[in-house]
Amino acid sequence: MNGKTNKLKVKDLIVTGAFAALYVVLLLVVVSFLGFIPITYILVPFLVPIILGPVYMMYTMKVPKFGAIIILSAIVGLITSMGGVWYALLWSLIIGTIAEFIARMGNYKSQKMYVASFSVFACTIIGPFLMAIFAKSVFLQSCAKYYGQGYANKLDALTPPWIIFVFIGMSLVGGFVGANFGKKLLRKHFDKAGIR
Amino acid sequence: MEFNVISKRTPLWIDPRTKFAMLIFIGIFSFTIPTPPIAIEVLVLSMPLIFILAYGMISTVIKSSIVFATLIFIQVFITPNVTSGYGIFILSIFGIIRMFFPIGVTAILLIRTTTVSEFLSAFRKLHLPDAFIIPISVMFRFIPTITEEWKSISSAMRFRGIGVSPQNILTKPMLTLEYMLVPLLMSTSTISEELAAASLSRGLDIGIKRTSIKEVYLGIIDYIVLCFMFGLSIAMGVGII
Repeated sequence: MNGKTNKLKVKDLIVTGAFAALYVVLLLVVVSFLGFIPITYILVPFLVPIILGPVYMMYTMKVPKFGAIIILSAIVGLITSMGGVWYALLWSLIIGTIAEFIARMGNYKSQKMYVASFSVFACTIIGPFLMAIFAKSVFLQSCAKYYGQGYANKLDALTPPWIIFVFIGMSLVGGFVGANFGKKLLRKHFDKAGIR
Repeated sequence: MEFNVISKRTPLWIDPRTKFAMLIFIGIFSFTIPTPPIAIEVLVLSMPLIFILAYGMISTVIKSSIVFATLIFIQVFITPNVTSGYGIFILSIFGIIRMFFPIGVTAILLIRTTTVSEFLSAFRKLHLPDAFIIPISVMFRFIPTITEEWKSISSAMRFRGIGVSPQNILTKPMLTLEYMLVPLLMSTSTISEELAAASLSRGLDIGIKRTSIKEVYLGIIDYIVLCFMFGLSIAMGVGII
């Protein structure tokens, strides 16, 4: 691959925008469905990447170039930090950069590297949860504000500080499952149809 | 001279940058003040509604006013009288909806009344890089498209008896997910390519300064809105509200 084809062109940026829209819409819809019940809210880092995996795999297949994953992570970061959790953007960018370099190690061709890349990228979902470590009392206050005190108490009981590592583990596994699911879907439906 | 007629601004046209500022302001407002005085809340919500009305989306304005009035009614007359645990849980859901409602209305204003070209020229004036401007503008253009596509896909699924029902989700989650995602991915992929072809034929990748037939600039109304939000933010910061 020479430098010219490896650079993002305007066409790629438009495709990026479209897939970012799909990613963000699915993210928001699924999280707001799961978010009402504390138990499923805790499962968000595992379940959401499974649903988003195919979108990511399709997107990276359409735009196999340096920068694509970082741009997606910036947009996801902007959306997840909307509730005033500004670390979420930073976290998302860091994760996105790591995911980008993993995909780059596979020279933007290796499916295995893309699976690894999404396992890492799935951690962007944790952004808002990071608050649980850094400022738990504030986090619980804001939960109590939105969801009522009972919800906050339930969440408090469920979130000792080490939970964040559980979340990271859950999203790594969720990302792995989601990416493989996506790989399978693409092979089954899109290779046949010639969309590559 | 003909172009001037087209590019003339309607009296209440506002710049996409003002809409963005409004979205950020209302976002911060909703998240930092959990229970604002109702008068202030109405004042804040009426801001996007006025502009939505100016774009002629009357039914949206009527619907959102009714929803908001209902939410306020629940808050004022029902919430103080409920004491049981389940009641509080259900009411807190209404509380969340009320909190996100103004943000949703402003997002409608931003997404439904702004064209991609307006987004592009407004962002260009902020001197942001293309790698950021183009995906963001396309994203906002695409959100309503996805909603529409989803409506057709889900009705087609229901027609074939594989609709997104709680029963199907619980008994065969992966299969239902597959049925949902494959058409969505397929249409996102094709529509984005069509959009790319259309934009390229209009010279989006030409690499020099582009002109816009719709003039995008901050007018008097923009400054009034911005000053209003600035004033409210200061009042919030000082603690008057």
